[in-house]
Amino acid sequence: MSETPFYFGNEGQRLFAVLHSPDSSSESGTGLVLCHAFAEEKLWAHRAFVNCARRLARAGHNVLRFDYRGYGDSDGRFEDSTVDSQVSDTQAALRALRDKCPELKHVGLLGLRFGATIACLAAESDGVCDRLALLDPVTDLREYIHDALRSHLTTQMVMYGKIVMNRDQLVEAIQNGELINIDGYDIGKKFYDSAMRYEVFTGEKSYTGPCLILDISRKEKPVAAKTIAFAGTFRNAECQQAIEEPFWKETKIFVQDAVSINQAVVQWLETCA
Amino acid sequence: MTSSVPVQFSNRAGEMLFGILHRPDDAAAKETAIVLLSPGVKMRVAPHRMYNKMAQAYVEMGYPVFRFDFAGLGDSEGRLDSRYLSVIYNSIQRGRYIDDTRDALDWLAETQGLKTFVVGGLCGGAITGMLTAQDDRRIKGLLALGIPVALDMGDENWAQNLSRGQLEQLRAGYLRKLLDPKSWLRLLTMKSDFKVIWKSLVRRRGGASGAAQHKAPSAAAADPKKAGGDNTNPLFGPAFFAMLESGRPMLHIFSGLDRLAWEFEEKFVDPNRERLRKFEGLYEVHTIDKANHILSHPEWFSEMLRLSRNWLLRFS
Repeated sequence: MSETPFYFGNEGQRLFAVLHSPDSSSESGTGLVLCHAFAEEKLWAHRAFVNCARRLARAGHNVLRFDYRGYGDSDGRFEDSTVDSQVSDTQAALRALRDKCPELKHVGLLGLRFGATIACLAAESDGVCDRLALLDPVTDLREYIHDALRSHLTTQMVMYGKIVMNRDQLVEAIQNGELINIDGYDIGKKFYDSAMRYEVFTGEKSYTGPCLILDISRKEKPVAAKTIAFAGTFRNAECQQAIEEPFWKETKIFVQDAVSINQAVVQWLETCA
Repeated sequence: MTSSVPVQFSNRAGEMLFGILHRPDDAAAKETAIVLLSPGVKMRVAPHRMYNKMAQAYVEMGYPVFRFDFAGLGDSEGRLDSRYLSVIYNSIQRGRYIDDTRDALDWLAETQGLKTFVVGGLCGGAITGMLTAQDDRRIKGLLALGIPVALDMGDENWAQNLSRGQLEQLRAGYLRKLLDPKSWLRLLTMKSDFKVIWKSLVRRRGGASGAAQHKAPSAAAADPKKAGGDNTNPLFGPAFFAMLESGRPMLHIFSGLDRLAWEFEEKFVDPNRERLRKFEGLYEVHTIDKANHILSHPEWFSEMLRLSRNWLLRFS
């Protein structure tokens, strides 16, 4: 198994990537591009994501991890990153994977949280992608971003001892062109408007290949109704539950390997073959 | 034209570590490199890409800058031997990543011809830098953001070692909540932390741990739970004074609302005030008002950059 860092280009910017290649004797003929989570969730989840890529490579798959523009070691500023630019970067990553591994028979996307949303949108517009794994996908972008704004309210309490701008006022400020800082990440109008344009939860998907949707929770419980409903918008999706700590945020446990997630994805890819 | 290049190198355990090397224009390049050490369990970019932005600023000043992932973290090989963050953080404060840091400096010396260094970073990166510098004279200076002085006691012992500063902040918070019905409900349904509320309202003299706070940390304090409560990292003081006694400058920047600022003052400066007096001028301590631990607000981050740039200008 080998891991090779490199840069590829998209729209004039360099994007950082690492290609995890399996031993040649065990190659499956399938390659996956991994789409990371949003803002600081990416950092918390990073190690588990890296080890997910390594687990998939041990199972014989070529795996490309990359940073969107404005993230990680890629060019660009976070505040210039939009849903559209992230989808575009993902499509460029798919091309980069195919360039590096031209012999692949199947190419797919695996996304975590907001990255799963991006993967879903990218798969819709990429005619060649035929594997799609969505880990705890964010299906309501408006709710997700509004929830993220809560962190700004906490910062206001610390700085001013009171809430100076509530969430509606923060959204209004974003829409008026201000940058609103959430844990060090500036959310601006470009990103907000791009996120509000997409309705991921409903509507029949044009992606027709196999799709795995993992509902991640700490304890065993029935798969959430909204996840099942989301799966119903695909022609060929299955829902599973994975029992894991929410490793994309700070918890007492440091999750190095999301074992149940890795296992579920590896087994699902075997059934796709 | 500056460049940033991904690199891999082996540590002494044979694990492949991953880094990004930033080089300034050859003509402008300084001979001392800055090595930014990853905080906690985060990888080489640090929260909100703090290290990327710092690297850019320092490269523009002519410094080569190196950021890398410790073993078991980021894109590097290796595994951590604990599940619990508090245990991992304490192991970092006890020097878990000194060897990886030395191996990084060795690699920079052997492959890039860089012989002298300023090390540091945020939190765990800062303490790793200082502990490494204690015995490695290639390190000429320390840039420390929110350096921790105290070991994590775990949730069950959280209230035991609160600093005066933390108690002040908690007290102010509790007083604000006097008019909040939800807070009264928590209190009356026994969901509040009564121990902490009592400590904050009483504000014992001599600091949170009373007389024990003024004892020099002993070897037994390596496990603060066993030492009867003093959670000062016993390695902190010797490393700090090793820098000073060898004439190597340090810049310490704290965040005003970070408990680490209070802990530095109460658990290190207060008990060592006399001894520190003769080294005034060799180390600088700044506190950025109202800032949080990760300097997430642009104003706080800009102020940190301004302070660190000015220090580096004086350093060179």
